[in-house]
Amino acid sequence: MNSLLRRPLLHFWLIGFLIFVVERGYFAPEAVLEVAYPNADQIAALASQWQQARGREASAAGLARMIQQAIDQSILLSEALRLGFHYQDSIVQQRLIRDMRFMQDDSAASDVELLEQAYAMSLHVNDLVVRRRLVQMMESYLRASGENQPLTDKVLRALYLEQIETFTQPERLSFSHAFVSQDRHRGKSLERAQQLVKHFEEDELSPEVGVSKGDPFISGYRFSKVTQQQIEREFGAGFGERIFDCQVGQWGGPIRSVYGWHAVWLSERLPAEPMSYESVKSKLVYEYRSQTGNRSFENAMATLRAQYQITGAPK
Amino acid sequence: MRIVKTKNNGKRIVVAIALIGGLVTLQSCSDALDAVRTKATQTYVLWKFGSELLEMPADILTAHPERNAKRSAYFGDLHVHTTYSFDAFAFGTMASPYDAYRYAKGETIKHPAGFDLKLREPLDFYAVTDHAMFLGALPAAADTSTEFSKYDFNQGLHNFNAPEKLNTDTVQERFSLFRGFLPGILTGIVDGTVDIDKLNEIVVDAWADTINAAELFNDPGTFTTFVAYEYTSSTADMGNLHRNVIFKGADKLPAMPFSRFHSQDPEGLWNWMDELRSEGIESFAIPHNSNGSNGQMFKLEDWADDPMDENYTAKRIRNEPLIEITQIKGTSETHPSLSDSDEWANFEIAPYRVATTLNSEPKGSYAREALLNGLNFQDQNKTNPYKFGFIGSSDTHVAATSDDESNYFSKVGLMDSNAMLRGSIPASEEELATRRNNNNAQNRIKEVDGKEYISGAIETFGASGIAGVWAEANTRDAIYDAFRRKETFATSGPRMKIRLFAGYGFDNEMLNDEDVIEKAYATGVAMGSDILASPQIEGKSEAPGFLLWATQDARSAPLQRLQIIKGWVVDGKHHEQIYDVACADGGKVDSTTHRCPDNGAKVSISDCSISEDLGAPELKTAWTDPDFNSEHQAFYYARVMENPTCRWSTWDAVRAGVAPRSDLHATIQERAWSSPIWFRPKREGE
Repeated sequence: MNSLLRRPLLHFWLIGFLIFVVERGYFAPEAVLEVAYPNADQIAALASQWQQARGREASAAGLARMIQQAIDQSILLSEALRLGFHYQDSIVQQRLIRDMRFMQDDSAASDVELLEQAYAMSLHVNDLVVRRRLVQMMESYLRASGENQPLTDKVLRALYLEQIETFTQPERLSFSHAFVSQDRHRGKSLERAQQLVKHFEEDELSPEVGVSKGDPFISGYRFSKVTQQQIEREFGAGFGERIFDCQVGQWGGPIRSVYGWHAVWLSERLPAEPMSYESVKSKLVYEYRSQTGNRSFENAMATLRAQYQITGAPK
Repeated sequence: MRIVKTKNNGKRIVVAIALIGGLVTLQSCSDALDAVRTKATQTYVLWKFGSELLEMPADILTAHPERNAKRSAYFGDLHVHTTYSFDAFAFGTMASPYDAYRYAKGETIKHPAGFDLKLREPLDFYAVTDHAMFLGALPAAADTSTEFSKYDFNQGLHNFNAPEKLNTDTVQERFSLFRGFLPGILTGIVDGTVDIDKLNEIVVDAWADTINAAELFNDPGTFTTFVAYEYTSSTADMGNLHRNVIFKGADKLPAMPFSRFHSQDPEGLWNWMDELRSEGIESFAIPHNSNGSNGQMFKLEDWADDPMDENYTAKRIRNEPLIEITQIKGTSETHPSLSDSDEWANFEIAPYRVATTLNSEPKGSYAREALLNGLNFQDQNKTNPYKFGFIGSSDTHVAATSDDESNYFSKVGLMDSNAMLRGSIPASEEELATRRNNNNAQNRIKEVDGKEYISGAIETFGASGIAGVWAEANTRDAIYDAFRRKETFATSGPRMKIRLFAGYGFDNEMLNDEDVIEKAYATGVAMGSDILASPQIEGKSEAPGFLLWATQDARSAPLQRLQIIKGWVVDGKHHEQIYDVACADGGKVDSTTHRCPDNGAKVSISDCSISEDLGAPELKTAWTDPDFNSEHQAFYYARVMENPTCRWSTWDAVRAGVAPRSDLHATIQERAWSSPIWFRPKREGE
């Protein structure tokens, strides 16, 4: 027996067998993960939803993006189910219980029993709201590792310097205006406004005097340090652009607003300037968390995509 | 930010603030008096050495010249839920109070269904108002990493956390769901296994985070936030009694918000607010969705159904100077059955008790009727509990105001996140299949013109509303003061501006005066105030003049008509009258019918385009009540109407390429309401 045990051939077979067992038992690929490519009806539904939301047909590239998103969502749903999120989330559970009560209106079963039945019937895979909820939970889960990374002032300051060009206080104006009301002067409002500008220029009227020659304006006559966006919010689209073309210390216009015509006097033009670190810090924190979360999600998603086979995809 | 933990500390701080405030006031007064003294001395010297008597100058010196005395319009939303609200969480909302404020400032955030949300225009002020009860508790219970989630009683809370059942009014249902939770937690507290302080810590932590977000984003002069929350009470028959509580400052605040678990009777809330006020913490409450109160919000009795006494009425109006007249779950100005002479009364009526499809009784549920009832109190020389001003807000549960008809995303997250779920386009076979074969679900499907739609309360929701104020500056103090003096207005979404003044000697000539607003403030009263009867000449008082001025939202439709809504009482009997007072397109008001001619503005239902070159960018007038009687208590408020535009449900249908649902209004007339001005007759002894 001892001599048998010492035979090299036996050693060879034994070692080979062990390698075989270990390799098959521990290092074999897991069961193949797969999700289905959307079928024709599902693709048509995606296109239809897009059209409902936007009011026009999706382009070919847009449709391809939506198909990829649908596949990604199927992967996320599959992963959420693999991790058992549907057993943990109270919103999912309550929705399933509600679905079961709809179907068995007179049932005396307890919530726990109904929930077990729902799982057995795979209702958690079929219910639209549950599916959306599970996908959303999985997205949050994948983002969380990035979003929760520790954040220091040094990191934020570096981010601030990196993006300083985007943190700009836009150009601002201070101005006065004399208003010619469309409601009051109707067809003659433009003519009246042109006369006012001419009169103000020729007589070199100060803004205080000029303003008093116009009609009452509900938001007042002087605006201080306002951006183009703020001006357009008050006077309507296009006004902001026109007034920025005017010169400081001169009468300009008339410029049309939704309310009528305006002779304008620019008293100050403040150039665009970088915003201070302190003033944008909260935004930086949000952006950082958002970026790291996105990165974490994209990396995890890329790994998952590589692990899944897409069945039924067009050749 | 400091959170008050004990009463004594609070009192010490109040005393300190009072002393410092007193010193500052004394110093300011002293400066002003010095200035007056100097001027007076100079005059005296001239008089003494001159040969003739000099006139005393009429100049008045003020220590603090008022800044922006004409006041500017600011727009905001005072009713916003985030992930800390148990129902918003259940609807899938993950957006935090921080996200809510970012959205209000014009940034993009995510809807629970994944799409982007961005305002057309940033707002000027915003208040996150999460439900006080279970503030932050659901995220904590659902998060299995928290200590709180480990308690056995959280099994009951898990079951409680349902998208449809978890609403603020399902009182009976909630208590039945809590049958396991409540005994479990109470037993745990008694035997020491559950620490109540730890439980409260969740609410306190969420509240502290809510305050922190408000403080972080408050930017005086640019963007204002208010620390706020929702007190969510209701009657046993699911009559809605919800209020939002808005705090003036954030330096000193209660450690946790007062919820319906502290008192289901709103008077308990007012008592708490009064107590805080005595400690220097100023706040007020805004009732909302009176339309869904089943006649309970503006009834004439107190919680115990006893007649309101003076203590109750004074307490109520002291704590509730404003109401939310419009929001997503309907508009509460008036109801067609209460105001049959108002052709515009049928506007975004949501007829159900909140979070149900049970009909809500109109009587006692709408603002105009409450204003009329309030006049009865005044007529009897009692405090008027319903002397309130108006604001609008959204009640969004996704942290984001949804007030744009053309880009509406409603309020309950995943549950109404697309046109089909909102019931504005026919439901898909897949959605119908999940609902068709059960009794309850059939209530949620409605056949209209041979097509099946998801139905319930959601299709009666509206893309509304906005709170407007006239304030000196965009700061907490200035805007809060505007709330308190009721110089506020509501809009159904667009940023229309509306002003209303009353005074004697107002005429149309004033309207062309550059200083019209200064004069109106100097010689009259603004919205939210009383106008007192003028001295009598030959036994009669002069009718006050009203100055009305409204302008369109530069990015919305032009205006069609400007109106006065008058309510008055004679021998306890209610009367109301709608007067058109200014018409677009040169129209003249018919003096018999008090109506403008139809300006002919139309909407194309096929693409939602509107008539061009019709309507007015601004409407204004000086108006005197042709039916004025100086003996009658009366209120007057202004309402301005846009030209018709597509309702959100029509926009949904147009985008989907289907016909709009015929049982819903295809078009609406967006509008703004000023707060009222009350006329007070002169009484004996006044």
